[in-house]
Amino acid sequence: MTLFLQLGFQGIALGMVYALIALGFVIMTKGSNTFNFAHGEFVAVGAYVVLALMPHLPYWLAFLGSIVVTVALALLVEATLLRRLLDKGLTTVVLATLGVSIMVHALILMVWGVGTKGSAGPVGSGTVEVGGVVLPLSGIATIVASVIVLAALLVFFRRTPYGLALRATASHQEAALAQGIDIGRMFALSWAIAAVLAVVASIFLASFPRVVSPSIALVALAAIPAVVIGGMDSLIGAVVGGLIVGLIQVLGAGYLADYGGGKLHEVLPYVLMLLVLVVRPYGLFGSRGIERV
Amino acid sequence: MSDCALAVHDLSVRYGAAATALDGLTLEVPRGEIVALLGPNGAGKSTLMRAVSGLLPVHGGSLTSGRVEVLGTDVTRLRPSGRVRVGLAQALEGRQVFPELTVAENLAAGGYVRRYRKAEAREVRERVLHHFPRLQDLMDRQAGYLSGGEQQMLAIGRAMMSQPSVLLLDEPSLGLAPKIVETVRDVILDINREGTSILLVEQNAAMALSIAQHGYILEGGRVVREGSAAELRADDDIVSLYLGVAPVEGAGQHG
Amino acid sequence: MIRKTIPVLAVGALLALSACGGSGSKASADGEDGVEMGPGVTDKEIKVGLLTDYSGPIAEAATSGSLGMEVKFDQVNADGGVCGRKIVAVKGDTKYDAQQTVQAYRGMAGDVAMIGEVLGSLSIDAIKTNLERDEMPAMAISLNTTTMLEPNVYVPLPVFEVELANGVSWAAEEAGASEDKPLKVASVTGTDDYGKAYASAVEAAAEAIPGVEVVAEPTFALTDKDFTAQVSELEESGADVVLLGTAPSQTAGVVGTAAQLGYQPTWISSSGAWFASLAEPLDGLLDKFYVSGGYGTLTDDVPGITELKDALAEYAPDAAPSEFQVGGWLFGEATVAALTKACEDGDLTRDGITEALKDLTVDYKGITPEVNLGDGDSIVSYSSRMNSIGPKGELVPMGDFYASDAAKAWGEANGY
Ligand SMILES: Nc1ncnc2c1ncn2[C@@H]1O[C@H](COP(=O)(O)OP(=O)(O)O)[C@@H](O)[C@H]1O
Ligand SMILES: [Mg+2]
Repeated sequence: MTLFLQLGFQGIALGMVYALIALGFVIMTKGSNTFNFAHGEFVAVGAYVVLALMPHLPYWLAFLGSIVVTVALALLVEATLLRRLLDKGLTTVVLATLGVSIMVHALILMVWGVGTKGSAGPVGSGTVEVGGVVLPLSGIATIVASVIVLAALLVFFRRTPYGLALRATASHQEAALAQGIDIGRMFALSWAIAAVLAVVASIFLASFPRVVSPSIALVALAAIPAVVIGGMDSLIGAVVGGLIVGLIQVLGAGYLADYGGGKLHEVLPYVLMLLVLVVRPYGLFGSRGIERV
Repeated sequence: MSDCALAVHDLSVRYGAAATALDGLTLEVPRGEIVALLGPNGAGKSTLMRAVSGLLPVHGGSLTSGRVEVLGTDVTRLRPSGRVRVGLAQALEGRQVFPELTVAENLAAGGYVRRYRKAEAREVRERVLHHFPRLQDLMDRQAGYLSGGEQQMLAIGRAMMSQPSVLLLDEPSLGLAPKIVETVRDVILDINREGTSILLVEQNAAMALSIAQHGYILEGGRVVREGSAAELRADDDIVSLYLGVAPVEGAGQHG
Repeated sequence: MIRKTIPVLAVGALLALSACGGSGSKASADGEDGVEMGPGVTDKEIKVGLLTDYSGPIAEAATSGSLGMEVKFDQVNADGGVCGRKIVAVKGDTKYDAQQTVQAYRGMAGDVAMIGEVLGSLSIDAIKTNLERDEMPAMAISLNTTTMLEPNVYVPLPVFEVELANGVSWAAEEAGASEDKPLKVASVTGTDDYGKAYASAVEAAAEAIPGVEVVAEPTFALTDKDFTAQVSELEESGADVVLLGTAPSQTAGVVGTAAQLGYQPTWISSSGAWFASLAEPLDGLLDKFYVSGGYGTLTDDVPGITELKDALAEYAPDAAPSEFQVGGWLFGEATVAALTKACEDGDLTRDGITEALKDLTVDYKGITPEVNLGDGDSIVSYSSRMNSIGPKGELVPMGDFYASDAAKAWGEANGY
């Protein structure tokens, strides 16, 4: 039971990180009609910049600095590349994001190399123990920060004019334009929000005992099943999908290690993703798209 | 010029490499009036609307010549958002509400450019809803689940949330039952009486001409006939030849 | 639209591309001295290809490695070269990228006698079919049996499996393990082929040492980001010593998570699992962390290192010292030994060099004990040395090189 709780806690903490990344995917997909394959590299950039600034600045300033850099990068990519390609069709845009992903990855390798770096988390290696279960501070921080960020996002989308304008743009672009909503600005806004989420995810992805390495970008791939399971256009779906993937990975590593060459927990999220695609193609929470009368 | 709410000069539009959709079109909506823009399918009515509101790029269209003025301001180079700020609003053909958003949110989106404060927003909404009492009870309903008539009301109401001086309505009667068409007609008239100038695109000529002061008939991207609503109404040929739509019950003088 | 397109694109993106085509050359001629000569060989010189990262992500380390090799060539050339021929390094920049490696290889393949180094399993995978088709002898810097078993590929230094097996043996000795006083060991490895080889080396070593038993062998998927399950399994098993067949970022994950859960065994890693930059995140957790390393460092006082330092002073006086120069130097030694033997046998064709590599003995002059390359699919040496971790993450030697019976037993059992 203790083991189950221990793994469950870690699974939720990891799942929250996936949720933040998945949310970024969903917000960009909804807000600008693109699937951004470079998002994982934005996560990596976030971690590397925090790490680079940490020795020189207080942690919170390093974090803010990374947000500035990563958001600027996202906006640059959005404005110079994607907005120009928008009328060339989705496939072109998505392939362009793949290209951007490769470029940013190469840039990271050039600046920081392939080697393993230190941790970039906001809290160290400390733990607290509750009833035999060890709760690492990094895990607690991950969960608390994620919940705060999710709540802030909820307020943003439900209660602010920009949030409403973003949802309107996601719902019907031409109608949004007709209301005087600048959809170019909305595309940029959705990318900026996704970039902020990427940086938040990155510091927890690089929290002790995890370290920064270029493979951090690959974690975004693990968030793709989360996105599909939850539903491409559902914010709640992204969170639930992220938690499902995190729990499967950590609980699976504990309880399924004796089956399938120990790879079951790695494959299972993808199996679940395919299952969802077959049974419920719009994801657990995705909308089928309400008919326009 | 300044007594024109909307003035369009020598407007030509083409879609990609395709043939010209509008060819040197000139048209005016005097302040406080309803002007009807009539014509068969494919005449270029919606294209004109898009050229005025700045939505052509969405459809791959572009201006090849011409100028658009709203309240004496040249808006030809403005983005759609700029034009809305100047005082232009459009209800798109086929209603096009935000289906996933509630009625209240649809309305709020319509007021987006005005950056209303809370109290202000409530006040404007009250005024708009005054024309659409039916929507009052549906505020928290997702717009996608409304009936066609309700959606049309919502689309017009949403456009009114920016308190426009000029309102563009693209076929508001499209696909609605005669009874509802009548309600829509009354609402348009009401809105106009409160001071909003209206360019009304319709295939239902009888309905449009029953409330308009002036009318243009469009065919193949050109104005083929223009005149006061009374003149056009009096011309049987126009109704049967160009428009071919039976008059709405109680809406016109022709039985 | 998006929903349908993404899976398709995702699959497309995951399909790796690899190019083929090559340039084997069978032409040979006899030299003035009667030595048969293949591609890349004339009466005056022997061209050797170096495929490493000169401008990519690990260029700093890789260029140092290459330099170690080049100054070895310079030293030999100054003494008259190999049978009167100068060794000329032909450098191909892989940028640590599969596609670039293939291009760089094709650019030089028709023009070199052998590949003196190809760096990284990624690059080796990219060109291994070309190497086989071109019958090109090559030495790989990716120290494991999986690479070693590729056709035409030689690994002239002890592999990580040897390091791990020797680590088990060392731990057993340290603990004074016996039937009466058993030592519980465990391994943590990946689920891939490399991981399986590392785990089986630990198993075989434990099998060979009385009193040592393997009590847990948790594995991790290469994408794993949380190691709670693996560490819980280790802790549950009560393992006193854990052998790490990990990559550096996983080393941090396992050791760090264990510290958080209050589990503190003795850790022993292969040299591939350690990276000096881990000293910072794992600060305070490395008291019982040891690295079993297959060759020495610049601080060693042995003839080989002295020679290397002299050569560096002579031929690359401006180069900053780097441990990577040591590895490169050793590959240079092996290359020179192979070419010398081939020449003595009168055959500097690729076949001749391949023949020379068989059972080739290379004396590394104390940097690591002498090796024998065997048939190319053999362990060349069972020697390694234990190191503790210095304050900056550097390796601090704790004794001499030794080849444990346990490691040899593992090798014999596998026919290496
Ligand atoms: N997006 C478009 N791309 C190409 N041609 C178009 C497009 N939209 C409309 N057209 C063409 O422009 C002409 C006018 O269309 P439209 O303005 O929609 O007419 P109406 O609204 O009067 O029915 C038609 O010939 C139509 O085929
Ligand atoms: Mg139309």
